[in-house]
Amino acid sequence: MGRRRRSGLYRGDVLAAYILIAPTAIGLGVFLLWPAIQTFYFSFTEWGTFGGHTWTGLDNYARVFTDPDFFQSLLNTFVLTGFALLGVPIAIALAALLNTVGLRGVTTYRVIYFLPVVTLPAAIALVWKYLFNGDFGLINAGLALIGIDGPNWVADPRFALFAIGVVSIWAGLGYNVVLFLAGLQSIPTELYEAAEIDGASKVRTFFSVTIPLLTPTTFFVTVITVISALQTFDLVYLMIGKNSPALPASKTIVYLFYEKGIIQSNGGYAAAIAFVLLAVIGLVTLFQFRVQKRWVHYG
Amino acid sequence: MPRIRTRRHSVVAGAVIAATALIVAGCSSSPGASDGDVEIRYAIWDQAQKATVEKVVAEFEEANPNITVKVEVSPWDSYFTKLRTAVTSGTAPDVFWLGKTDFPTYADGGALLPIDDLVAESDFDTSVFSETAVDGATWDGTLLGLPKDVDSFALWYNKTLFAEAGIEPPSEGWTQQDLIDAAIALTDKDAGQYGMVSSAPGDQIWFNTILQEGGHVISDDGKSSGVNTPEGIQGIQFWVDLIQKYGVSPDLQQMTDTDPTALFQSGKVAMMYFGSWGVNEMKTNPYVVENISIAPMAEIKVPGGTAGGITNVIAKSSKHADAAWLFLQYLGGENAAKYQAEAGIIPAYESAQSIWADSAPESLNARVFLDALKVATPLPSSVDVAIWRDFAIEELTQAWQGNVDVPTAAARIAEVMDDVLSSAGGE
Repeated sequence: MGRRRRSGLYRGDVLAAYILIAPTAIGLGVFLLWPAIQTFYFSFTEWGTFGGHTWTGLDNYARVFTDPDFFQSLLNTFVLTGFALLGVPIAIALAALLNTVGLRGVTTYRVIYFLPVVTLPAAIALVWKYLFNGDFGLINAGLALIGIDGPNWVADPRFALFAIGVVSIWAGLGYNVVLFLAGLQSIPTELYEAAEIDGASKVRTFFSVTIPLLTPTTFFVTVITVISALQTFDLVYLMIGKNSPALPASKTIVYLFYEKGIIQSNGGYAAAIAFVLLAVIGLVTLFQFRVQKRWVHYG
Repeated sequence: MPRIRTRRHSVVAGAVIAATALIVAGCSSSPGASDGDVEIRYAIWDQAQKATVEKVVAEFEEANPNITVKVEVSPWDSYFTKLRTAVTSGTAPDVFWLGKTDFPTYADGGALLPIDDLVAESDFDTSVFSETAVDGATWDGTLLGLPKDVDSFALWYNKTLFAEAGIEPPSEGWTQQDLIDAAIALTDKDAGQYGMVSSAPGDQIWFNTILQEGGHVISDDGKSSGVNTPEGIQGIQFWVDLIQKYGVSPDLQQMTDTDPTALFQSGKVAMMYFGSWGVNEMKTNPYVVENISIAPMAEIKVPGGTAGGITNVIAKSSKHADAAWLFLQYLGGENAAKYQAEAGIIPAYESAQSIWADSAPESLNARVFLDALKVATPLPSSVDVAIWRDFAIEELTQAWQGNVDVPTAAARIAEVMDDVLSSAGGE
């Protein structure tokens, strides 16, 4: 009788569970999974001006791998990802500073650092675009004070990527800091006490205790940052824009996708670009997971 | 006790289902008004013209109480991207603007509702519009829309800067060399002042100088490009020289950072070629009214220029074609033309064009644009224009920066243009 009761209960629970996860699952299925499958299908087709498509097999993929525009965009995207990774040590340092015992106004600092994360990308791009303005921006005004004639940061092909990199580090810092703060909390205080007893300096403690024990969080943040940076679009779209001379030098893969798929209505080619990007992200992430054994200390 | 847990789960599950159902029901668009009441959407791209458009809409809605018009403004950069997506998915606005450049693509692509029959049925008189304007709204012999406005280019200049430098302002008979000389005299880079704006390739002002050299952008049969002919190259070279050779214009990077129109309206640039729609855009700026005037474009070899214009069209996929046609007729009517003219846009409705010239601030000398229209030819375009236009902009952007010489850039552009033009259907 006990068994029968348990199985009856189990069935009811399972049904309720399915119903509870249904809205999210259906949403993901309809808005994420199904379009992904459709896009995969479209990557083997060519689109007409206003709809309709014809099967073209692997033509789009062949074109992707012989397109200099694609490789330039890939390079730009990797450079931006490099910039984004520079933000990781900065976030660690900030988190460590914020974690100082007895620091007053920690909550205020956390809010300030997290504000960019919750600010509209359009607002961020607009304000930074004005800051970077070659003739009237504040950054060049500051540089002029020390005698440097600043360039047109977002219009000059040599500096545009740098400008976007700076903004993307700034915008993502708060998110990473919060993650690292959580990671820091999980380091047992006994280890710090032991290091203090052993006479280690603050710096030594930081590098010998904090950093190694932070590596699981660092790994997570690095993976997330890379995946996100490889998909940069909004900053390029909003700060650089369509006809800018700096566009070819700062175009990212997702921007290329937007250009081909939406502006030029070449949906099939864009779909192929999207899936090549998916493969790139997958390979990079796989590589990160493989390599983690070498540097991440768990437990 | 296990029984109670199951029941609680079921209650929660039930609540989730109910909530989801409510959200889904709320998401679906409500039919809004009832029986006979129709809402149509009108898409435009110029925020500066919104007030005028709303005025026309208000009058139309009063005369047709069961039709509501929803005006949707999208910035120029994203207007066509949005439109193309909408047309492809069958959710195009009922009535929308199409400029000369993009008209062939949409006409050839079957996105527009032919209105020949509607015009005949309603006895609408299309002779109120200039012939070129009606031609521009026709494709393959079928009328696909009603012309809204026409535009042309002229030389806008800052008469105060000219007076301060003691130079004769531009006038009838001014040659290109006169322009260059004046620009050089008016440039003082240390003071941040420039003589003449070398308009960015995307503005397609270089079309005008090619025509004035006696060349063409697209051949008469529409099958080949004229960009890499000597006239075409010289027409483009002038603009590159303004930056690279004479140093009288802010460079392309500066103009990407700060809009040249803003520089002009702040007195940092003495001259620029700009369109007649600038009257609508800038006449409320007191600086402009006081210091700016307009003269014809500098003469080169042949009088000429490009005449653009917007056509109001009905989407073929529109579910309210009747209401849309009523609205289209009103848009093509005398009142709409009058309001446009007063606001500073040259209407395609010919008899209202003088109202336009009279309503512009006296100091602007706007009649120049009407004279320019007399010698202008329709803005060159073709089906699939997006392909060669974007390529041309990319190539010329490099040329403007001095990274590639003009003949090389022109040759590459002509190659892409020829490819697109020869494979596209003709008019």
